[in-house]
Amino acid sequence: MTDAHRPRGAVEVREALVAAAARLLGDSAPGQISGRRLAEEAGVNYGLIHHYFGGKEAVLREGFSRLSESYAAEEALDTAVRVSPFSLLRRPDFVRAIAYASLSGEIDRTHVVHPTLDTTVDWILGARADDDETKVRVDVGMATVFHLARCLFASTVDPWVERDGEVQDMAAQVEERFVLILRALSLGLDPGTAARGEREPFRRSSVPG
Amino acid sequence: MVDASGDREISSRDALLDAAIRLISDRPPSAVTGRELAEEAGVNYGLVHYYFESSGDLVKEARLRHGSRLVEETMVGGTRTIPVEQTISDREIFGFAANMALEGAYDDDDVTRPVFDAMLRMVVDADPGGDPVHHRATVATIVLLQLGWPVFVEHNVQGLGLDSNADGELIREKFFVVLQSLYRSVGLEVDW
Repeated sequence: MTDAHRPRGAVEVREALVAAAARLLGDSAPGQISGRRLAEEAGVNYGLIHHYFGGKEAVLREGFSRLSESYAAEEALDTAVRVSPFSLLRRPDFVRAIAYASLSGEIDRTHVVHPTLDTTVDWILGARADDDETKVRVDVGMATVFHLARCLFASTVDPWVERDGEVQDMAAQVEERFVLILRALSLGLDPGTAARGEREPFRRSSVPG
Repeated sequence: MVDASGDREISSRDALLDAAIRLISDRPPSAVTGRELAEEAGVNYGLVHYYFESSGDLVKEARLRHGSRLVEETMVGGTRTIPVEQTISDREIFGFAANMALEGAYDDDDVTRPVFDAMLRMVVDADPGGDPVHHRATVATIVLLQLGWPVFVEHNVQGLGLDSNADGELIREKFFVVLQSLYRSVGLEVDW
């Protein structure tokens, strides 16, 4: 980055640092990202991290929020024309950031916000008004584990799923089952039934939602 | 380092691969140096380059050994499924797989997946004549959940405003119930 293009002023410098953090978090554990590396990636002086954020921890937290919010914004745009409920497949950077922070035991420190989880819980709570709220949250958590795992391990699982030569469109059919299983997990229905390809009816509670 | 057969060459090589599996369980393959590997394996540093042409070669061999060890040892030659308690607590299973996946170590033309294959064979034996799509989707889902749960559960607990202590039992119980349902759908019982 030439000096002419170096970020200047509070707004540009803050933005450059947060954007740099969001990029770096997709490629390593938060603890592995030094302040120097962050400054270098952002093209700003090292001292500015402390000046504007008080330290790199705050930059990393904002970087995480940036990933999470940009995903939530895409999600909101997508709901009208939803193709796959495994929407995180389009955001490997966010999945990777969560995985790196989780594996290094730093999820606490980075304080990951995941706004789409709240939206999902609200939506399902509306439909399952007669269910205990904690139970609904546990179900959404289980479904999210499946969603995240499906995305993190896509290159581990997909080539194996596609390998079967005997059944036509095996990959597409298995994908349909994944979608049914994800639905079942979210709604607290039976995943084994979904794996068999049966779409278990969901008894909406009497409260409209 | 000499194994039971007394074959020094093979055992030093395997010792290096086992050391690689242990180290990659805690951090990505690119963060493991040759010196650390030699030290962890208790072999001479020179042997790292003697046995493996490149780090890519080493990572690939570690992946093959990881898969065959899981099938031979953990799955007892493909006669039982991977115990759930072990997948939750053993970083050499989920940590290794996640760190490898994060660095694209499964993105190549080699589609050997020994654990998936061994599980599918068990499923076909337990449910002969069953729907192949059901079988494959179930095996894939079980492996995804057993690998993904220990990686992501804490993120979800926090993101959902749950409490690891107060709700931990409920969360684990749900995980077990889900796995049991999937295993039973293909005629298998869960190995806890």
